[in-house]
Amino acid sequence: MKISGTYEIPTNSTTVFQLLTNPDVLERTVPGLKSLHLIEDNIYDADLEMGLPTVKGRYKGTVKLVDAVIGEHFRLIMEGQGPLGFVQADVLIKLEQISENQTKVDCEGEATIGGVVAGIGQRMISGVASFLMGQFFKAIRKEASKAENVGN
Amino acid sequence: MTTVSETKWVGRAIRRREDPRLLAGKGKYIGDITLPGTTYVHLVRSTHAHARIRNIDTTKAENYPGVVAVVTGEEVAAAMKPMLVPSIIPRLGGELQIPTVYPLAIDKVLWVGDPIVAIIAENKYIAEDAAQLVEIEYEPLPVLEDPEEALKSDSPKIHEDWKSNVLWHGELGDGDVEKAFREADYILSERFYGHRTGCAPLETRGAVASYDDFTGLTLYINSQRPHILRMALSQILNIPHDKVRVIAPKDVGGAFGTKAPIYREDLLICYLAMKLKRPVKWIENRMESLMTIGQERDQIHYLELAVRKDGKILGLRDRIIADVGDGRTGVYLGFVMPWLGAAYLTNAFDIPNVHIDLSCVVTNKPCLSPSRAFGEFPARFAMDYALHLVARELNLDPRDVFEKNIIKKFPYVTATGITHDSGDYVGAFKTLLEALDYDRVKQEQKEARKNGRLIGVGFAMGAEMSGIGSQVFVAMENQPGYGSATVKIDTHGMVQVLEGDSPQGQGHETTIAQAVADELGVNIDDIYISYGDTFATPFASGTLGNRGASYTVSAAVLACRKLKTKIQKIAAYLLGIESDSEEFIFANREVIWKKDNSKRVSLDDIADVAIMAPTKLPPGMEAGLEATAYFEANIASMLSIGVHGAVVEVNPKTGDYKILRYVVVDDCGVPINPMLVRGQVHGGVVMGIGNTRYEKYIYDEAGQPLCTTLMEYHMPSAADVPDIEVIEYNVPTPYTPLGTKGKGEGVPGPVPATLASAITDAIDRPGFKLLNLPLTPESIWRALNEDK
Repeated sequence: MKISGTYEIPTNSTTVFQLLTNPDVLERTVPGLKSLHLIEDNIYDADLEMGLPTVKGRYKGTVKLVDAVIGEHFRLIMEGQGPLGFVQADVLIKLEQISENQTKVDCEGEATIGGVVAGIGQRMISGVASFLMGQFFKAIRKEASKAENVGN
Repeated sequence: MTTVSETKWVGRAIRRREDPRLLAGKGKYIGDITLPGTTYVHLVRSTHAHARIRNIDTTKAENYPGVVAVVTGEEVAAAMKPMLVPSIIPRLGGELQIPTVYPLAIDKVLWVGDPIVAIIAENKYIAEDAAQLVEIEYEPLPVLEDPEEALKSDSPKIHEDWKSNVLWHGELGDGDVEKAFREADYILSERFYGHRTGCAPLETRGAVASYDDFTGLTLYINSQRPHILRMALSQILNIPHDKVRVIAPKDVGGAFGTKAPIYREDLLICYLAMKLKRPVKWIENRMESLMTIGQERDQIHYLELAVRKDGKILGLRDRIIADVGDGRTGVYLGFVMPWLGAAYLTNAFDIPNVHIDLSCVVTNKPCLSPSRAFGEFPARFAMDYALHLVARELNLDPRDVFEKNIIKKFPYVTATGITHDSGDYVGAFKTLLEALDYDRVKQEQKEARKNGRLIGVGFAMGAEMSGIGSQVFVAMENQPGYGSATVKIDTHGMVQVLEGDSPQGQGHETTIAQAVADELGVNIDDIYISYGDTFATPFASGTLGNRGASYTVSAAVLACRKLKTKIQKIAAYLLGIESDSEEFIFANREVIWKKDNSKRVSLDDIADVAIMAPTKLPPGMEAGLEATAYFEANIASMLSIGVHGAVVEVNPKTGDYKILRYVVVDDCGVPINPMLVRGQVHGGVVMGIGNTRYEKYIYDEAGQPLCTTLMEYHMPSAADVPDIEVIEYNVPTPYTPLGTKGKGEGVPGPVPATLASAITDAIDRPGFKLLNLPLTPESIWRALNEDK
């Protein structure tokens, strides 16, 4: 499944980068993310609950942050396994500051979902994915406004 | 004085004797069987299509309250032989690579759904909940979904000890194909693809096993072939044959071929009952079912036809690549179906020069399991639709191309070795064209076109197997082809018939009774049919491949005839007549002397003498009224023809099409019960339409099954199918005692070519062709827009 989306965050690209790569922020903003712990450089242990109401899967896995250039881009490689299946995602996130307090975030990547959720939810899953991404960036926007306010 | 009644049961559309109990909800299915102390199994299945198992942690599941045991692959494997014992491996020549198979995965999984861990619990809910606590670590491996990719020499091997991913490769055919192609005026060469589809019986698989040291193993299972399963269980589990009893329940909610193989779960459930010494029950859930069984077809045909300019097919070449999945299911190994597709490829046509090269390739999908129109669904599509394409290319009337090539002389043996016993294929074909009012439809087509409506007419042939005799079946599946039945008259003059097959909705209690009632001159209510229990019934290969009406009914008839000889001797003795034994008529439960019909004895009196008062029997005669017969037709195989035709209207803007008429001209030799024959034809056409238009087992590129509910695997309902017109065109076969042949198995086969040719005729645009199934509005729309 292809993942793509463009979102705008009301702050500069360096702050956006910091928000998007800060485990504390992510724990607050990623829908379904139960915990995120740094285990080694740029690799986190993640505990995630995701899915559709009838077939929610709990996944344990890792999140890797690679190719990171502060304020410009980074890649997230996620892998999770659970009793109902697995998720794998590889997403490139590009940041482009379009004005002083406005950054465009471009997400582009591939996700693979296996097991019950894939079987039952295939017709809904890309809709669910973009819904979740929307939710996430909405939360990030809030974080950004908070950061801006604190900064001011 | 009463006259001799000639009430015939065969040929009458009486209501099914099975239906009252089914309609009242009193059927007895596998789900209804629960023994005292039963435990329930749930299987943890792979979520990866191809992966190494790094670790399995079952601790939490084991400690879950109510869990009786948690079992993994190595333990089960240690208790038995590798499942594919020689008796369930086909012997079809060619090059075969045999996988090593155990019930649960060890080290590696090969498809999404591959069973890994069995949880046994006090109830099924606990088993399912505990299954969620099993933690499995996988190391994903490259996934092979495309058989043509899997064929490449640099592809990773799914079975690591094999030399390639080809499970079976072989060639079929005869004649001088090179010469035929040299002499051809035109050569058609196309790639046809028949997608992965098949069936989805509403009753899924299920089994209940129990074991004790004295009686051994008893397995209740909704199998189509309990005797073969019993034999295999004894061999694989190393249990003496007398300690293995397989019982198929009285009612089975559809099988369509899927309940014929010997599955890994069958062995697992038996092992668990033996381990736990408690009954174990497993009922496959819908999701497991849709990701495991009923997946068939899945063939690519690189078909070439050498054609003379008048439309006569001189020769045929085909390179078939079949996607057989993991190839780990007993009896068929996934390759018997495509092999049959190849063997029956030339359908009802006289094509003397044939060469077929068939490669059955393993992929990371479940093993193919048999499905009604056994292997031949994509082959029928390729063959019959190709004839329509030939007609279009050569500017001939497809009627003439078909008629020129249809088999006319019987018996006929195809270049691939299939024997067509008898029939009138041309007559059936002409009857279809008359019923379709072909010329008028073509006229109406022109008129409609003026108004912007696209109407088309199409047709296809279906020569379906009607059981396969031992000559073929022994080689094909290592099994006898005969039909078997025991007929017993009991102390009350009632007739019990025991058959070795195991029906799944075919109506044997009705049809066999109709045939036996005529033979013994009794009422249908005097007859009761027993089947399914391997400790009581004669050995047979099972209910599959249209065997019932050809082989099993014939065995019952022959058993009656054996019995009648004895009954007539008793009657003559009781009546004090000097008579040879063929001088009596059986009617109205009486045995009546032809020469003087005042001399008659009731069947009850004869039963009473033979069973209860043997002192009154002719001196020296053995007591009892019972006979067993094994029927083998005096020909390698029988086929029954069905010719399908359709009129469709296509909406070129959306690619959608409406079936305006669907007509089947059908020959089953002699219909024992015409209502049941019509039912089989209706059901078969509906299945064919479903497979052609709606159903597809879809996999994503990672090998994830995307059709695991009946929402995604849409089977047609009444609203999705047209009225189906059935015209009987019966030619009795000389090779069975009543002239009967089987009907139902192959009926879906001609549907895709019928619809594809009708749609193509409606579009009627040079270069427009439909080479890939399914025929959905989307695929038609794409074909329409590609060739623009």
